[in-house]
Amino acid sequence: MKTFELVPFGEKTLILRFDDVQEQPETIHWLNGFAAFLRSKFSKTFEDVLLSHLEINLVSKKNTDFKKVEKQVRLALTEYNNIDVDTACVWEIPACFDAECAPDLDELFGGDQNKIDTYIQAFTAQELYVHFFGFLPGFAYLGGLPKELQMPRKAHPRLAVPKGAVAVGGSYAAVYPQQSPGGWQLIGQTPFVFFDRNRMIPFFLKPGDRIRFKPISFLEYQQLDRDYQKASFLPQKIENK
Amino acid sequence: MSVQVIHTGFYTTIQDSGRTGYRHWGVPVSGPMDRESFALANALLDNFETAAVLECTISGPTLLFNAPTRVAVAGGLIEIRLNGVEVEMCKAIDCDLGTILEFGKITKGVRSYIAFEGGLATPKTLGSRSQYFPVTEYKKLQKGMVLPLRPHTTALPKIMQVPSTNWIGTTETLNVLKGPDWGRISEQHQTQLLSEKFSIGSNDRMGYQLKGALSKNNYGLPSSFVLPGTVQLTPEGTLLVAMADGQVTGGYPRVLMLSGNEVSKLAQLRTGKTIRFEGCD
Repeated sequence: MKTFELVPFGEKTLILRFDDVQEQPETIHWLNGFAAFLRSKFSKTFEDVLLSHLEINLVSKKNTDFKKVEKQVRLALTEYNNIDVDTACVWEIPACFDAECAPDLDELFGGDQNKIDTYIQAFTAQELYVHFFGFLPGFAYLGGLPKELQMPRKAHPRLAVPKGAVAVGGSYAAVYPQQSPGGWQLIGQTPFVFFDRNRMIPFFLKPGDRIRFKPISFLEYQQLDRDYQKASFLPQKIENK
Repeated sequence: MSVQVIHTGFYTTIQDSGRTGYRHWGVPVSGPMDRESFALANALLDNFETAAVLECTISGPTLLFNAPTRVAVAGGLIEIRLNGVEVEMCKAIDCDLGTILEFGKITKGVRSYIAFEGGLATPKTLGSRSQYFPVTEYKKLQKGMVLPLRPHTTALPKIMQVPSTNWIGTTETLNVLKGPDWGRISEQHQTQLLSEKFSIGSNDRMGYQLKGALSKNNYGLPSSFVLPGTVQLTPEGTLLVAMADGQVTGGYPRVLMLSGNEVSKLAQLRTGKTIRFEGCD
């Protein structure tokens, strides 16, 4: 049994923190699975249950009844079985990492094409996972970047990062779901965004899902983007875990 | 049954009680900035608590009624003309087919709420009618829009009139609780937060910036959960109060949390006004 603490946050929210959690894929999957379990099991108590960095936030519909929530978490913990509720999918997201789509790579590597190629090869070989969503609808904080692939944020944020930009900021990667200001390093571009109001399924990715970027050429990107504008289809799911 | 938008006013949005249940996908909860006045406007018409209304900012719209109905207005003090004749806030107003309801500037407070008997019946996106781009097609009301109304009974509502709310636009102190990151900031900052005055800087439905004498800092935190009423301390020493459309995560220490309905009070204060925080005992 994991030990936890509940920290009050205003009158409606409790922050659920587990002892000894590390930022590892297994831990994040467990936390996201448990958050989803709480969300569905206690949908009458909570208006929202969501993960942020290594903690679960429980937002009550009315003012929080601390004792009741503590009991509910204990009960849920005994019932929660990781294997049963882990419905994470693995997605393959085509993205172009050529210079046309990656305005920051040149500066980051001093124009050294070999270094750029090595970075992109390593980046696209890595399986990333959705730690949590925040910032904008569909903005997924993608964890799983090893140290050597992490990048400092830009000193001066851009006023307009394009929709679909693949970016790295600190230990996270992300895809901008809409045009917005942003301070992350832009390393690629994909037609698939994680939130699209006009798509049959506005959000396809969920917390805990894994993704892998598949490098495509600029021509392929342009073709895919044109096709996507017509039909708003989903990227390929490579496996259900 | 519908209402047509002739003029939009400065910044008018459709708001119901908000879009909960999607925060784990990064979707802000939205809904009215001043929940008290929103509730009052709906109560005047015996509407459901969640019924969709128009939230006006700074000034109100001009509306043409394509069916007879009743409306009620609460919140910031606003001039209302029904076919050119002045009518009162905080009571049910009968509108006939062809009525033109014209709203002027808000002279006290910032936001007024126009409720319609039964509520607006505009389409829902992700379970809510609240406008928030890009979850909804538009971020605010557009000229020429036709807003459908929900069918309603014509019985007289239970409450016909209430006294106008006097706190609107005059708040000087806001009640707060300690935020979850209170313990991470210096004692000096803690003391200053509860003793100094802060003036309202740039503000919108996402957040209110408050300026005071807090020094620059470098607390640096991982992204953590933020909800309407959360007060964050930025590295520049300004405060950022998350409001209805605020992001679900923020990267600065969450030093305070507005309690109860203090968000409603803040939402009625204008740029340049000063406030103090009280509480935390």
